[in-house]
Amino acid sequence: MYYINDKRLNPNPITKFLVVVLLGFTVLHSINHYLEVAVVLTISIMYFMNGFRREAIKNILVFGVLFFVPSFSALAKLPIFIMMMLSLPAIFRMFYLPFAAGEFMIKTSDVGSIISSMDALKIPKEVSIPIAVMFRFFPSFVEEKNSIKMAMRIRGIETKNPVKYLEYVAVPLLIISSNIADDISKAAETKCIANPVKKTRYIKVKIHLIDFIYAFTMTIIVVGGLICLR
Amino acid sequence: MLTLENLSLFYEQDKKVLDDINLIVADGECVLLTGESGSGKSSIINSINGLAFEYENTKFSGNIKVDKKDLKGMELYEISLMISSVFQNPKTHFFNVDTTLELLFYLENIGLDRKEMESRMEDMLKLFPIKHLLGRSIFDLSGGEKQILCVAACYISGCKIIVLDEPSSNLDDKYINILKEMLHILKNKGITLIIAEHRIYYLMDVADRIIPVKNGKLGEELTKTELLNSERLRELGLRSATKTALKVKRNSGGNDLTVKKIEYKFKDGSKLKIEDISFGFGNIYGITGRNGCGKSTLLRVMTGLEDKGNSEILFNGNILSKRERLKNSSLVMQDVNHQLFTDSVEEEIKLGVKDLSQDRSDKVLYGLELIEFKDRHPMSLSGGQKQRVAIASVLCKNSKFIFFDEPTSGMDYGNMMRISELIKEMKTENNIIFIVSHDIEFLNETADGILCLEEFKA
Repeated sequence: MYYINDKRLNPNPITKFLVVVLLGFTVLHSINHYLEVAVVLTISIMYFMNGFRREAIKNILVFGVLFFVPSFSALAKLPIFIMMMLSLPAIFRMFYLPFAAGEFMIKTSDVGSIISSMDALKIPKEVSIPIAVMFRFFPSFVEEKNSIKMAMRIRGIETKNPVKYLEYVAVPLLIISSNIADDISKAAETKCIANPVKKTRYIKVKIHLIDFIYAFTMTIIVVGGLICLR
Repeated sequence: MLTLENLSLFYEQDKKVLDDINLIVADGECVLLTGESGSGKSSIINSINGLAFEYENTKFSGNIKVDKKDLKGMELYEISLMISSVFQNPKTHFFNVDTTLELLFYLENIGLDRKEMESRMEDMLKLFPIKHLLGRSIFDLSGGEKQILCVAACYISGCKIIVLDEPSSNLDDKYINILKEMLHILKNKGITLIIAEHRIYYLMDVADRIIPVKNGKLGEELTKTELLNSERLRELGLRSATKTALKVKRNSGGNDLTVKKIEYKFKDGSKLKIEDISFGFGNIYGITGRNGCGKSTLLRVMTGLEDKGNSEILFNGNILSKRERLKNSSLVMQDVNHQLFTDSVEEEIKLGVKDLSQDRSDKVLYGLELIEFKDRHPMSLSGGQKQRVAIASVLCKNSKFIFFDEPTSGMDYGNMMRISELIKEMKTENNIIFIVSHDIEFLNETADGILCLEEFKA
């Protein structure tokens, strides 16, 4: 076995994806608020165990702020001005749980294991390759975005006007995104990703204990949360 | 055997980039294609590995054959089963984030079993001592480390032909040496190498044939003695054929800007620690050091962009806060695509600069030969022109401290001299210019003083 980071604490992408879908239901049927906190804490613990400390803390802090945003039904009773102010955060609050689980999935899954798990699910190549490229796109994108931010700061572009800001950031971001996409697909194609032979995988996608723990904890919290509100 | 027969390559309908190329490369031979930027040497490489047709919308006539097999109409994966590529920018090479998985990725895609994968890995590690690079994230590697991984990945693929497009352009001395050794090993293993490069000194021993490319045509083969003549080199637009030593003296005095203290801890536990170094107005300072020794970090700290780390920088005896440093600094980045924000060249140079007169902006654009592109979208310009737009905006901002990050990476002799002249013209009695670079020829030409960061890294 060659120097590949130990993944036993990292659930496989399928489990992570199922959890995202499961948490998607909380958008339709909200669950007990305290159990929402439990979901967020579980995700942070998962981050922490995999060495993503900053993400773990950020996740808790962001939810900590969102926790105090009233829900839509409560919002309706407030004056119109406050309602307008808070409706965007309220929407974000609604989607935060699946969003956080999705972010966890993207940040902690490598392309190899994503392809392997899609292979295991017998997903055709035409679907699985573009998805893998998409996943690979995010980390490159973050790296390039930071450079653009740096360039903006030193050029003194710190406009408070969000429309103007987007206008400035859009040009380099689009050009760079298209370059990244080209680079990644070149890399994949010259590595014979489209080769029709039966592929082998060095790391087999296995189900570890952590997959059960992660999936069960989340299921219990969500089901429990639904029952609590009944 | 690789054969190019009457190969011509067209962009769109009429723009011919390669003109009737005929070349036969025997098995195990190392051929160096050399010439200025835009001469067509990269296009030859991209025709061989098939990327030109798939990604650059080109058409070609003629034949490209490996042994007796015609590559025409082949899918990229079919070509990649025979030919491996090393790109100019190693960023382009990686599909996986984990380095070990990247090395294995090709093997997985050709369906090797696990045992065979391990034995190939074993075999590769015996040739190239890169164990320390395995199991890491590519985002934590330096440019040099990435590039040697690319070469190792080509070897592990088992392809008999490897094409390399300016592989040294993002590398420092140390890594160019490693690359050179790796190429020797590959050649000894009987692998055919085709290299496009204008920095040729490191290839003098390994290349069997050196062929100049000009205006899309192949020229007469060059002899090695011919390349020791510097005039002939300039004619061809090439960099030096021998290794250049740094000639600039260490420090050139002046104490307008003083770095009292900079302390920065890296993720890997190493530290950059600089104390009491002064810089004077009207000077150009080169900042050198190996890939990954903290050059870019220093640049971020000095410009006030870096939030982490301790720093104390004095200007004429007064402490400069990060905000003040940001206000007084300008930066030309390595990838200028990051720093062009507007939809015309003229707007671009006015961005973020208060009270810039039309007269001044026209003068700057005129000086940089950009005046005719005034209304063009910056992103529609060529790489060199984009860089000049970035320089124009720096000139208009009129900063006290001007920073360049690797301004010459991938440049041939002519372009390197042009940028050197430009930077020297920017020098005034009211500014200090810093250049982060590992291009020694360029620094010899341009810098008044040198700061070597390796001395400050512990």
